[in-house]
Order: sequence, then C-alpha cells, then structure tokens
Amino acid sequence: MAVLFKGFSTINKVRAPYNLFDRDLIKRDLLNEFYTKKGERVMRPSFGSIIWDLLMDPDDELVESDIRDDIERIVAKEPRVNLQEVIIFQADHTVRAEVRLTYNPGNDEDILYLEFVGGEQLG
Amino acid sequence: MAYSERQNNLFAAEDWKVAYKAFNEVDFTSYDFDTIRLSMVNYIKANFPENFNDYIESSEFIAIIELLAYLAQALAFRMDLNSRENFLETAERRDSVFKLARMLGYNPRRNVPASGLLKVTSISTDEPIVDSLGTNLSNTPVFWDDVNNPESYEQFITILNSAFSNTNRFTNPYKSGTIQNIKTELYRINKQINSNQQFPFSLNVNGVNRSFEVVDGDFVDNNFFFERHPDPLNDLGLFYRNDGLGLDSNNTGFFMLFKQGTTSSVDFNFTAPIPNRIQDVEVSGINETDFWVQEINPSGSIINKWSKIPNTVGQTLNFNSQAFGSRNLFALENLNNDAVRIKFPDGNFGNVPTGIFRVFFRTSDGVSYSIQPEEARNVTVTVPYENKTGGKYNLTFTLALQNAVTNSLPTESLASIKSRAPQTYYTQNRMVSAQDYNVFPFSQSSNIRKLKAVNKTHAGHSRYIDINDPTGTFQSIDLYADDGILYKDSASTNTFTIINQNNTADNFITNILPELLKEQSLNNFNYESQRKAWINYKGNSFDLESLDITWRPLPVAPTSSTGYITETTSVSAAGSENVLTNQYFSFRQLQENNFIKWFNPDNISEYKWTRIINVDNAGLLTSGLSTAVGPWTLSDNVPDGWKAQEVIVTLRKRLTNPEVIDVRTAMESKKTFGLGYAPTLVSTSLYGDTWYVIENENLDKTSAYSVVNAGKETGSPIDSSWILLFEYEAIDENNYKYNITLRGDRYIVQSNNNMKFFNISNVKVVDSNNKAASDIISITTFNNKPGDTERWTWYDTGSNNIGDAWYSTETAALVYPVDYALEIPLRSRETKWYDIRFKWQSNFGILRPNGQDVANTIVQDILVNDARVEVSTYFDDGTAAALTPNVTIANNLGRINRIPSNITIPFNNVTFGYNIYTSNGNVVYKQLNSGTNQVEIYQANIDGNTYSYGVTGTLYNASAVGSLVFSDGNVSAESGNLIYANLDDNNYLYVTDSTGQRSVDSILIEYNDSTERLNDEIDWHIVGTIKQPDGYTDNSKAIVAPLDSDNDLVPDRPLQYDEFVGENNLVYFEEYTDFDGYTYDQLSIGGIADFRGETKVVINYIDETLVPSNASEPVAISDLKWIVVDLYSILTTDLENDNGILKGIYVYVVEQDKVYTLLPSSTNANEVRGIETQEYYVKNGRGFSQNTLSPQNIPMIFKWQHVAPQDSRVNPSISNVVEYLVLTETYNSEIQKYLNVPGTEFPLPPTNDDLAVEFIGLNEYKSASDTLLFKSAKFKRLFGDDAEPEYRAKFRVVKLNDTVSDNEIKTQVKNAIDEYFDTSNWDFGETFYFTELSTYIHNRLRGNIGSIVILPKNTAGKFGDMFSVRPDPDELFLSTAKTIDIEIISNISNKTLS
Repeated sequence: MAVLFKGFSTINKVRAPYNLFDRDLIKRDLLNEFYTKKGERVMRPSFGSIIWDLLMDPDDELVESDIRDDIERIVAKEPRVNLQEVIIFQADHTVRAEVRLTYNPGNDEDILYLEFVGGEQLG
Repeated sequence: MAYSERQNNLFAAEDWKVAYKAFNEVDFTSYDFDTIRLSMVNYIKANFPENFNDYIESSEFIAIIELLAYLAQALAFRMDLNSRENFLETAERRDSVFKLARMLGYNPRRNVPASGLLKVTSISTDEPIVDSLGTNLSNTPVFWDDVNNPESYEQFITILNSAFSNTNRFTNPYKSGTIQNIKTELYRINKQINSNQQFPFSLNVNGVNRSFEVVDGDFVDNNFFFERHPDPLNDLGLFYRNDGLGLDSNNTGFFMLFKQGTTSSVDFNFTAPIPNRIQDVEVSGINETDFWVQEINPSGSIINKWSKIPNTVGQTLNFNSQAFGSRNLFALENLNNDAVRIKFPDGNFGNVPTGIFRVFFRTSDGVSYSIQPEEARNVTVTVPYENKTGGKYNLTFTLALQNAVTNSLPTESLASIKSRAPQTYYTQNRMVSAQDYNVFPFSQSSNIRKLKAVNKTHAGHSRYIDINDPTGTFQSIDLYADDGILYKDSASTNTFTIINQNNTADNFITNILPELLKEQSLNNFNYESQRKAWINYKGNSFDLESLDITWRPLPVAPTSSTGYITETTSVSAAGSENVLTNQYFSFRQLQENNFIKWFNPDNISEYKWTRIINVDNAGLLTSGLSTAVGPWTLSDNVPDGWKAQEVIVTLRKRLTNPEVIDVRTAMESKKTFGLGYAPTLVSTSLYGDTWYVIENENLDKTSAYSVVNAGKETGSPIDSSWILLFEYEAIDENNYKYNITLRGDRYIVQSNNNMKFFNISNVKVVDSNNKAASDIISITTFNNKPGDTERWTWYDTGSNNIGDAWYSTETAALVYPVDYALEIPLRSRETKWYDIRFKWQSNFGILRPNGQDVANTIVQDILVNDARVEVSTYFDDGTAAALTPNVTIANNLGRINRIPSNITIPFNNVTFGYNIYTSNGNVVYKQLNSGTNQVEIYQANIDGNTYSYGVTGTLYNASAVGSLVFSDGNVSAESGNLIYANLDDNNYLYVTDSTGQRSVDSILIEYNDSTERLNDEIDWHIVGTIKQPDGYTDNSKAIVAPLDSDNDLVPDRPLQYDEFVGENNLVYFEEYTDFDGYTYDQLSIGGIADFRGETKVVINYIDETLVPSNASEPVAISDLKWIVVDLYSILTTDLENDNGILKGIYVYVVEQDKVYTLLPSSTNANEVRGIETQEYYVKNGRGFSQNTLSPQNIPMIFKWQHVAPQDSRVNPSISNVVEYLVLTETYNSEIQKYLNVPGTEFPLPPTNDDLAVEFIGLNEYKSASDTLLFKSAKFKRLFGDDAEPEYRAKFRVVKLNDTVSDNEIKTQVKNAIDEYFDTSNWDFGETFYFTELSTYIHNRLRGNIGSIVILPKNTAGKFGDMFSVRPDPDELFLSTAKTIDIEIISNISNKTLS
C-alpha cells in the first residue's frame, strides 16, 4: 500500500531520517496532543490534554468522566481515525487508558495505549 | 552591458534576479502569528509536497512552525515599536517624546504651580510696641482698614515699620513700579538670619487639601511678580499696592506672594571637574518655574548662584541669551514624572562645576484648578524678624485671597508636546510669517487656550501721519454716504417674569417694570406711533392753546427758566388768571420731562420748545408770589407772558400708588391683561398722564395699536390700546408666569451700497480725548425737509370769540376769505394741484350724545373728536364755482383759488370717536348764527332739516338754517353722510364746550415734497445692529435712536424722526436669496407710480400706459415696478385685467399695508390677478430716491461718526498690524465657573490692555516693523435664558424606550451639547448647524433617543429657526442650556413643534 500520510517526528530519534508515515504518524500526532499539557503550546491555549491536571484528583466517576471526555475530544479532532472504545484505568496518581480505534481509510483496528504518571510528562 | 550581464550569468553565485525571485515568493506583509504561520505552511505546501503533508495541529513539525511564527511576531512587534518610538508623531513612551522634542529644540514644560498674591488682612507682633497715642500693640491683631479702629492704619504701619529695616520704612520702598496698571512697591521684612525661607500653609481647594508656601516675592516693573533665589540671608518680600480706589479696594494694601507646593533641597558634592556633567534629581513633581542651583561652602553659605538657561527654543548651554561673561550656567532636561536632569557646561562656554552644590526645587500638584477667594481666607503665617535694635520677635500675618487664581497647569501632555514641538521648531524662535504668529505664542504662554492672528494692514504709512484704519477698529472715522434711508419699523419686545415668593408682583412693579419702561423701542413708540394715533383720533390731543396757559418767570424777570404758570380755564379760575396746578385734570400733561411749545401772543410766529425739568408742589406757589423761586424749572428761558401751544408727552417710568395697586391686583388675579398709557385726557374716568389696566374681558391682544376704544369697559375684547401686554401662564401652585410683550418702534438707517457699519460702538466708550462717546449718525443739512403738512385754522382776530380769518400755524399768516375765494397762499408758485392734498379737519361743532336725548346732550355740552375729510384738488378749469366739487389751485399763482360750496362727510360711530346720533335720532351741533352773532345749538334731522334752536337749544328758529345737513343716515347703524354746506358763507366753526375746549375748523395742506433744506443736522445714536435669526449681522443697517446727549432716556428732540420723514413717505424693500442660501432684504429700486389720493386708475391698453383719474400725464407700464394705491378696490377693479398686462408689477395697498404681485393665472396667461406677497414690503421712511421715474435722483446724505475706544492705539510707523484674537485659559475658566456656579455674573473678557500686558513678552520675537494688538475672544451664549432673546431655544427629545429615565436622558443630552460646544472643537466665527449637533447627540445617545428637535423660545420664532447660527468673527459659542431646556416628548407632531 502506498504511503498516504507523510510527517515528521524527532521523538525517540537521535539522527535523521525523522520521517514517519501513516499509522505511526497518526498515532504519534495523537500522542503529541495527549502528552501536551493543555495551555503549554505557544499561541494555542486550547491545545493539549487536561488529564495531566487530573492526576492528583480523587479516583471517582466524576474525574473518570472528565478523562473520558478529554480523550474523546482529542481523538475526535483527528480525522484519520474513528474512536471505538475507551477503557480507563486509574491508580495512584496514574491514569492509563486503552483507546481502541480504527483508521481512515482502511478501517483497520488498533489500540492506542496512553499512560499519564504523576510527576512526569511523557512526550 | 553585455559584459556585466554575461559575467552575472556565468559567474555570479546568484544573480540579483534570482535573489529577487526568491524574495518575491516570500510574503513580506506577514507580521503577526497567524499570517506568518500561514505563509510558512503555504511555502512548504508549495515546495515540499512530496515530503510532508501532515498539517494537523498536533504535528510536531507544525508545532515547530508555530514556534517560529511566534518568535517572528515578537521580533516584528519589537522592530515596529522601535521604529514608532523614533518618530515624534508615533512615539508613545514619554522618554522618547522628550528626546525627539529636544532634538527639535523644544523642552517640554513640567507642571506650573498656582501662584498669586495674598492680601494682608491683619498683623500682630509679640514685640512691645506702642502707637502715637501710646496704645500697646503687642500681641494685638491690627486689621487693615478696620472701620472700628480709626487708628488701624497708623498701627498697621507702625508694626510693619518695626519689622522693616531702617532704610526700608514705609514710603521708602526697595523698588516701585506698576504691575497691571496698579502702583506697586516692594518692602522687605528683616527676617531672622537662617530662619525659614518659605512659610507653609495649606488650603482646601475644591475639596482637596493642597500645600502652599508664602515665598520671598519680587517684581519686574510693568511685567510680573517672581520669587527670589532662596538664600538664608534673604529678607522676606512684601508688596504694597494701591489702585487709587481706597483702602477697602481689593487691590490696595500689603500683599505677599504665594505658590503651591513644597520646597526641598538636595546637596551634591562634585569632587572632580567633569565637563558636560549630568546630574539627575529623581524627585517627582518638580514644577516648571521653581528650580535653583547654588554653589555653597561647607557651612551652607552661598558662594555662587548659578543661572538657568531659559527653557525655550534655541537656548543652549553654548548659545544663550545670558549676559556675556556669565559662565555659571545650567540647563534642565525633563525626565519622567517631572523629575529633572541638570546639565552643566563643558568648560569652554561655561564653567565646569566643582565643590558642594545645593539644589532647591519645589514640587507641586501638577493639576489644573482654580482657587476662589472664599477658599483662601484667614491664612496665617508667622515670620520671625529682628527689629532695629536687634531684638528677635515674631510677626504674625493673616492673609486672604482677593481674586481667583487659575494659573496652575498640569505637566504638558504628550499630545501637546507632539503638536507644539514641530510648530516651535518651524518658527525658529521668531515670528515672521503668518503661521509663526499663529503658533509661536503657544510656546511662550500656558495661558492661551485658543488663538488667531490676523494681519490687519500693509506697509506704506508715514511715521508722521497717524495711521488710517478704515475699518474703524482702532481709529475714529467720519464717513459720508449719499444713498441712505431712514425708516421706521415696528419692533415689539418679548420678555417674561415668574411671580413667586422671591419675585412678588410688588417687587416686579417696583423694580422690574420701571426698567422695562426704559426700553428704547417702547419710548420711540410713545413719541411716534402712540402720539400719531392719538392725534389721528383726536386732533387736539396735544394742543394746549385753548387752555390759555401763560408762563410767568419767578423770581420776577422778563425771561427765565424758573417760574410759575397761570391759566384761566379751570373751574376755580373762572376766566381770571389763576396759578396752574398739574393736578387739575385739564393740565395733567404738564409733567416733568414733557416738552412744551411756548409762543409769543404778540407775534405768534415766534415760539420755543422747552422741556420741563422739574415741578415742585404740583406747580403751586408755596407762599404766594413771595415764593423765591417758581415751582417750575424749564430747560431754557421763556419770556414772561408767552402762551403754551403744544405738548410732547414723555412716557412716565414709575407708577403712582393707585396705578401700582391696579397692576398688582391684575397680576394677582392671575389673568391676562394689558397696560395702556393715556398721554391726553380721554374721558372723565381716564385723565391724561395715566397708566391704566385693560382687563382681559376688554382686551384685544392681537390687533394693531388703536386708541379708539382706549379705556372703554365694554366687556368685549375691543381695546387694543395696550402698550404692554401681560399674558398669564400657570406653572404650579407657587409659581406663575407672565409673558410680557412691549409694543415698540425702531428706527433704522440703511445705506444701499456705499457704507457698511462695521465695529459699531453702541455703548459709550472712552475715546482718544478721554471723553465718553458713542457712534452717531447725522442726517446733514444737505438734505431737504420732508413733504409736510401746513395747518390753517379758523381764527378770531377781533377777540370777540368769532372766527374771521384763516391763520397759518406755521407762518402766522392771516387770510380773510371772501365767498368761494379762499386765497390761501402755497409755499411756492410752482406748486401744482397734484403736489398737494387738501383735508378739512373739524368736529363741525357736533356735541357728544353718549346715547342721551337732545336735552341732556345740550346740558352735557361736550364736543366730539375731530374728523378729517379729504377734498379733491384740481386746476381751475373754468367750471362755475358753485358747481365744482374740487378745491382749485390757480396755476403759477401759488395759492388755493377756491373751495367748493360744500363737502360730504361720510361717518360712522368711529369717525368722530362716538355715535353722534342722540336717542332722538338727531345730530346736535353748535354753530355761529350770523344773524344773531351768537353760537347757537342746531339740530340736523335725518330727513334733511337743519335749524337753530337758539343759544339754549330749546327755541326752534326755522329761519336760521344750519350748515350741517343730512344727505342720508341710518340711526340704527349709527352711520350716514353729512354735508357741510354753504362754505362760501365763510361761517366756519369757532366754538367752545363745557370743558373749555375750543374747537375750530382746520385746513390741512399736505405737500408731497419739499425743496427746503433741513435747518439743523438730525443726529441719531446708534443703538444696535440688525441681526438675522441665523446670527448674520446685516452691516448695511444700523438701529438708531434720537440723540440723548445727557443719557437721561429723554431725547433732545423727541420728534426728530418727523423732522425728516413725512407721514406719507415710503421706502420699498424686496427680499433676495444670496449665494449662501439665506434670504436677506434690500432696497427695491425701479419705476414707482404713486397713485395715492386717486379714486380710479385707467389702463390704456393701446399705449400700454396707466392714467390716474384726474391726471394728465400717463405712465408707461414698461417703466413700472411698483404701483401705490390707497384702496384694495382699485387693485381689483382697475388693475386686475384679462388682457395680460401689468404682469410682474407690485402693488402696495395703503389701507391694508399689503403688497400684491400682479401675476397671470396658471390656466390663462391673460388673466392678471393680484396675489399677496411677503417678499416685498413697504415701510414708512425716507431716503435717496428709489423711484427711477423721478426727474432727478435726490440723494440722502448722511454722516457716520464712528468712535474707536482709546485702549488700542496704532503706532503709525509700523508696516503690519497683527491683531491677536485670544481666548485665555483664565477667561475660559471664569466662563466655566459662570456655567457651573449659580449666581456668578457673566464674566467680562479681559481688556485689550490686560492682554497686551500679559503677552508683552511676545514683542521680543515679532518682526521689528510689526505691531501686535490683542483682543479677547467673546462668547455668544446660546439656548439658555441668559442668551439674547433670538438665541434662546429649547430641545425636544423623543425617547425610544423606558430603560433610561427622563432625567438621565436630559442630563446626557445636556452633556452632549456641552461637549459639542467645547472650545477645542471650534474656531472663531464658525457657524453652528443644528444638524451637526443633532447627529452628535444621536451618536452619543444611540439606542436611547429617536429624534431631537430645536425650538426657539422667542415667541416670534418658529420651528426651523436656530437651525444655523453665525457668530461674529471674534466669537465662540457657549451653550447655557440647562436640563429644564430639554423636554421629553412621545412623538413629533404639529403640537410638539409649536
């Protein structure tokens, strides 16, 4: 299958090439937003995830609902995937999530694993 | 060419075209984040599509692009900011603006403190000191000008002298001079060494506590006060000022200089001599004026006082105006928040500072405010002093502010610096060009709010000839013109009064009404329209001759201006000479300020007019003929035995007690009423010289003035004899209002083309000879007398009470008629029959029945008023004398040849003032029975019989036929036609009634024109200008009033209008629309056919001429513009036609006082009909000949003597006069106070002299050959009740919704109006357009109001007036509208627009 999406990432790379393609690129782009704390990005105050701000909150349904909403919001912004299911695990100051999604085009299913640990921010 | 191209093509790393192409694809217009980001994304899309297409927001690459875009935006912003700060117009940082302004040589001003003089109201000392009477003054306050202490002045001076040094006692000042025209002397208090140099106090100014200091004052003669350089060794300055108006004058006494702020000092030790040293003083609020640098020794004594370079353009440490050799200099630069930077010289152009330097400065509040005298009372400062023996004591001053201080200013704003710095640079510190004169003064004074410089004249005048200012602004001028017109216009005046507890009816009558009665137009009305109305109604209204009044000088002398007056006609006199008292009803016209015409009974052509200056004891002698001085004082000597012939009545200005009660009752009854003045005896219930109230039920408010029904209480609204109309208007239970209308006449002088009345002084000014004078217009003796009337009366030459001759009241000639031959001489042989009009005036001896029967009419024995009957004139065409109906004039003989045998008198109940039918249906009259030589009573019956009933009226005598015969009559209609028959019998009327009033027949010969020159010049005061409702001043006209040389409201010649203008003289006007769209009037010049006196006019359609009924000369219609006819019926029957002739001609109908235009019908061009027009009108007046058909154009030559005030004189040797029109900040703040503080008088603008003193400094910068003159701006008040009546207006506003209250809307509208008229928005002389104001108000109140309209308050005004107002060229507008002038209405309708 021909490459459809061509992008760029330096994460986990120390030298060129910095290219990324298709699913990797899409997942990387999603992770970029999840792992950006909302308000951090210059000139984009609404970019990023609020989950980082919820890690110290009580482990209750209300917080879980907020997390779920945030994940759904971010995934909805990515036109190249469709959200199928979100499973959230909350532990001490940690949120883990399994986001089951399908890609456009092709409709292939994949799972995006997210982990938010208090005190550190991944990226 | 080829070489370089080739080289480029082959060898150049990058051809410039390549570089250019690369740049071309970069978007250089991107400066902000979004467009930079978009530019980069587009660039990548265009250039790298195969490598990258992940443009989603969460892409890392996009994140990097955004970071770059953010950085680029920040850089672009900073670069832009830096660029902006490099230009004065765009710089925002104060520091940048300062630097840029300094580059232009402009040093911005810091704040200016309030400063002024405090008057010393009391002093006290703790020194044991005694006055000349031995009174101990220690610790005793001594007040200045203490009315309770006659020694206060001496004690005051004694205490002060003790504190002054020996060489500086009072009257031996350090310095003397004049400041603002007040003599000023400087004294100094011998202050204790090293004591305070300033004396602080605080004031609460407008609710804010502010710190002040009394400082060591000094002054520059003819210039200003200033504070001396602070020095511990200095004494304390004290001023003595004396304006010559006495000790209690605000400007006389001892004064101390004060300033707002707090003085501080900082010491600097400059150990090393550094050229161009800079030292910052980082203290906020240092003011502009008070900064001193002094070099001191370690003990604090001053070694040198360093001089500050003036803070003006072109003054630097290297180049400045300091005296040559003065090297201790410093300059100041401003820092933020009014801190300063001291700059010292470089060692070449000034000394480099070394050692200890002390800097004194004062920090002030830096806001603009005004200090009112009442805010600065009882200020106390204590000054330690040494007396002459070295004793140390304390002097305590109590001080008070006398005049408002408004000179504080805030730090110069950035906007001001940006505006003034380039202007100042442009002028290069001197005034040469017109623009220099307009902008430079702003850099020199902070007291200028608005300024305009006008170059008034040009070069070429000799130093030895006083300069000519043809505009009359600065020079008195006499101008002549020959195209003048003098005319009369009715001019009612409207005002109102609100009656309440503060202004009771009594207060109004006592204090306000007399002032209203001084109105010039009302007094004109009294002498002109009112007098004529009474004469027309009752011909002998002002005749005194029949009352047999004689002048008797006392002390006894052949002639004198003091004396007493006798009469023989009162009841008590009973025919013998009796001392006259003006309390008797017949003689009430003899009052102060009235004019009496006295004549010599032995030579009746000798006469003299005098004014009654004073009457004591109502004219009675206090101790008989032994009275030292007669009770009457006249304005001139009158010989003993002269008789009174005529009186001119002056309007009495103060009401008598019964009159006050009448008016008060009328006002308190809260009804509309009129106030009339009877100048003559009207009836037994209304005597002469009486103010009378016309009750509402009898009042005719709208008709023209008529005395026919004066004082009649009929219950019908028919009395229009009021001269003041009081119309009641309810307000609330405690207040009611009377709208007052005063009738009036105004006289207007107009020049057709030759003269414009600019700079009219209608108030007295002090002229260059120090005399009070005002502008005068003189009608010169080059002009002819008006066409006038000569009166011939039937006269008794034989003293037997039987008339036997016609007597001329003008020439005293006597003519004895024989049968039809009248033989009355005319003034000239040239006089033709059409040059005169002949009128018979008489009451024909008819007795007043008052509805009674014959018997009671005879018992009452009072004659009716005179009537006038016009008799046609014609040349003697040979018709038999008995048959001609005309008076005939013999050609070239200069006399009236014959009279007809009878004349017809049409009458109704107005003709003689009364219904003349008795209840029996007869007319009873008196006539001389030539058979018995006695005056007998006759009765004329309606069937045509007229016989004598003897002296008693009871004995029928069929053989004695009377002269008054009924032609026809209608008793019920109270009208008919009488024939005055048998005129050839020469038995004319000469009878007396029970009041002693003699009635005689009179013949009035009215001359249409005169060829005699005026005997004397007729002088008029100019009292005003004609202003159109839009504010335009019509400079071709001036409102004038008879000259009143002693200014006592009684003119020198009350009837002088009639000396130039005849009753029949007319002037013709037409309106035209000027290029500016406004409508003005001008004199109408063209062919004028005057057909007055004609009963018929015939159109000759073949020759296209007009022929009056009995004239021989036809008038060509093509030459005509105007036709004048007496009767409307002549217009409709003779002039209107179906032949398409006379189109476009204007017809003035005298009986209606209306003008008609003859216009063709829209459907049939041949139908020519008269349509009334308002655009053409006619007034009574006289001037140069407007009639182009006249054989000669007669000029009207007049002189305008203009007086210029002396306070501005033009130096004759200059070449340019630059006239400054200045609005000072001070005057503007006084105006603001007037607006905001109730009860404040409207402030007078500063005089030319005041301004010249204030801006004297500008003379140093002007061109040498120029002279500067200053005039203050004036304000034209609009809308409020204090505005001129024609500029008063109210606003009506339609509110859109109820979310905002009515009061809030009113307040917002008023605020918007005030903002609109802020002086910063206006230039001098700019026209106000209401449309602009309403647009602004709509913008300000958007969503709250739907509409706003302006309505003039003037009752003569209407919607549409006040839509534009033009001020004079030196005026700005000032809205004095209050919220009560703004009304909220629900919608706009005819009712709300009225």
